[in-house]
Amino acid sequence: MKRNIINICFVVFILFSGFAPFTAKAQDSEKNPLLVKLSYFSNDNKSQYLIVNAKTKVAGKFQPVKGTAIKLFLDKDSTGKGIGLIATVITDEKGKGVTNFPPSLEKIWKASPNHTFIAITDKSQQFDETNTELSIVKARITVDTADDKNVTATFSEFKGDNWVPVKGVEIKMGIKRFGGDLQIGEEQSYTTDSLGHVKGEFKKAGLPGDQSGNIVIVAKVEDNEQYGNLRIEKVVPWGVKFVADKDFFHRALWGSQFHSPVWLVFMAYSIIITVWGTLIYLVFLLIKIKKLGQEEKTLN
Amino acid sequence: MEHSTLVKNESKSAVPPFSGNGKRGKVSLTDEKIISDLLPQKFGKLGMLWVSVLVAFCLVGMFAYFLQLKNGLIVTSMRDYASWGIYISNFVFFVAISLVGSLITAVLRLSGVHWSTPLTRISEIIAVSAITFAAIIIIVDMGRPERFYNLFIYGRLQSPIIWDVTVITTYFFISVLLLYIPLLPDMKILLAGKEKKGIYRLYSFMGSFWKGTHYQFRISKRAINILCIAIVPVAFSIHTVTSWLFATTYRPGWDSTNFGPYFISGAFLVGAGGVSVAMYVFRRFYKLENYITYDHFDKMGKIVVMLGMLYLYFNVNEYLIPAFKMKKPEEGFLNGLFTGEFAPLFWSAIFGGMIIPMIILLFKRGRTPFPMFLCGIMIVVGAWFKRYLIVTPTLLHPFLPMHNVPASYKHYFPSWEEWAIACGSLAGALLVITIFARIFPIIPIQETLIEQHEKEHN
Repeated sequence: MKRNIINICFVVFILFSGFAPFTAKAQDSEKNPLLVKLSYFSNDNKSQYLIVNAKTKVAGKFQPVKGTAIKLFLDKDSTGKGIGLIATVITDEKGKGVTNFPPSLEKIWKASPNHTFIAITDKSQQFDETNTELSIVKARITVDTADDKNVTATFSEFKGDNWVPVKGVEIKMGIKRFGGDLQIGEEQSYTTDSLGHVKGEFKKAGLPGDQSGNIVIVAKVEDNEQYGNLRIEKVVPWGVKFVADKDFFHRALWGSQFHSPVWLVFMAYSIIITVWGTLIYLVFLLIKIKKLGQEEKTLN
Repeated sequence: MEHSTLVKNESKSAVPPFSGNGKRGKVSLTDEKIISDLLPQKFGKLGMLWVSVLVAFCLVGMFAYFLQLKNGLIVTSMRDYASWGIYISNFVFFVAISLVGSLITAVLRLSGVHWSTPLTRISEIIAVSAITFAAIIIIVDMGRPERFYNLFIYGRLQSPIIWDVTVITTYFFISVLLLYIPLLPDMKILLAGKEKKGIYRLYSFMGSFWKGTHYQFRISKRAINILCIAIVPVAFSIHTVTSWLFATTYRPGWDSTNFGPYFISGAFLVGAGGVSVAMYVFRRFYKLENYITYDHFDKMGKIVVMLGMLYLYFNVNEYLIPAFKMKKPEEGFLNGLFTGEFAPLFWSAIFGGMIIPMIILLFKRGRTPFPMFLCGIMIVVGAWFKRYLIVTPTLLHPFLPMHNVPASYKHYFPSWEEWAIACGSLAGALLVITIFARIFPIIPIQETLIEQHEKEHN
């Protein structure tokens, strides 16, 4: 009997240990793929940075993946491996990670008009390793404005040692506001001509600017397959001067500390003085009681 | 437990055994008996246990506060939605219960009611301890308490917060005076026959100058009368201003012009409930059956019923009318209270904290000590949760909901640190009352003697 039990246990152990690799493989095959998206940004033709987004499909819906370590490289060697480590970013709760380029990569960056970015994630319990690439051509936008409130943006790419105008690139022009960019004219976007130019007319008269009437004109290229995301801003005095509302400094219920309404000051201090005056009088009575007691003691 | 062990009555053997049952208070008492009955008594075993439990709660609360100071308000469950949690509920509760000082001491005294004499000191010490902890809990609610002084430096007279700070300070001061001045005649009795060490020094410091002269009595009587008059508007102000902290904010459930009287009626009810509980506890454990009689419970019970009806009336106003209109922005808040996640708490507070105690107290047998004690407990506990229901559900249902907030922001359940601090503050308030009753007579001796002499004279 005892031997039978041992035999059964042994068989069960063998079965489970035998199935274990299959079970693990089955689990591996059930892993959802990790989708990594790389985006290149250039602001004011000076500041370049990368944004990575990690997501996966859960129950038919894309969900951001938090805490994924993504290694970012600039360009690759002949074996296909990255030659310059830009950074290792960890994605946040929105599955997003951002990095600038370190100064150590300046030489590689300047050496070529075209670059490839590589994003690599290692194998983990949830996901297999991934390798995502993004190739871009270095480009720039410049903005010129005229007194008649016409805006000209020029798009050029870096070829050889020169900036060459590019035809057929879609550019959006707008005015920078708190919630986003407001369209500059009636067109949503403009396409560059053979000189790389687009022209837009500023039609938002009466738009509030800062205290000097300045507003910010924006020209941008968004999600371009070849050039990535580029954006340039220029300050122009085409807005209406902002005049601070001085009401806040008048006496009012919403006024600042020393601008309470007179009636409130009068009422509040009248009440406070009356009540605390009474309390001080009561303390005075207490002192009187104490003095009477001390006098009584002396008499006795 | 026939013979309580909360206190040791050391002078018991020196006094002839008392034959009355204290049911109607029609027993003739000698001065010696009154004095020996009402002098403060040492804690018995149960008393020591009670104090130990309270101290333990306070220590845990202090540790939790230390963690909060160290790590910041992140240790609480308060987030962008529920930025006021049980600290503020506790604050409103303390302010509410402190109003009992003005009800029992001032309102009844000014109305020429004499039966409340044994209850005045109980209600005053409840008021002082409650208002002290109301002030403390507000500081606990601050993320950076060391910046509290900025409230005075940069405070705006237009802000109800400044009004609240002002009236709380004023009310505390008045309550302390109203506790202290009537205590002076008792100091002479306390000092008599005491050895000149330990607690004697405290009595001596506080009242050795009281000689009981006619002129001293006259001045103290005038002072008490002034205090009784002054405390009523200040007490009304303190709770009205507390209600305005909410009512001046445009939010569902707070956007009401009725909030002042609604809060005051609720405060009187919880205060009366608190006194009922204290009456029972002191009567039972300090053997004060001859002084806090059935008659006191009967009259106090009637007051509680009246206050309960008043508060219920305001509750009907506060909830029925908005529910009748059911404005879209308030719908979530009201449904949350009536049938949603707060419904069990809401209906428990309405029935357990108001309707059931009122029904019990409508009957004469309900207005006897133990049922009164139970009703008092129900009212006080119900009132605490009612304050929670006033503060938190509103914050979870703003008129302009925020976008993309984590789901956890839309719900609030206090963290253990919040519970520990709130319970610690409640224990602290009870500890103050307990220690006061250990050091000072909880029923005014001199006033009881005078009333006894007047009764005999009549």
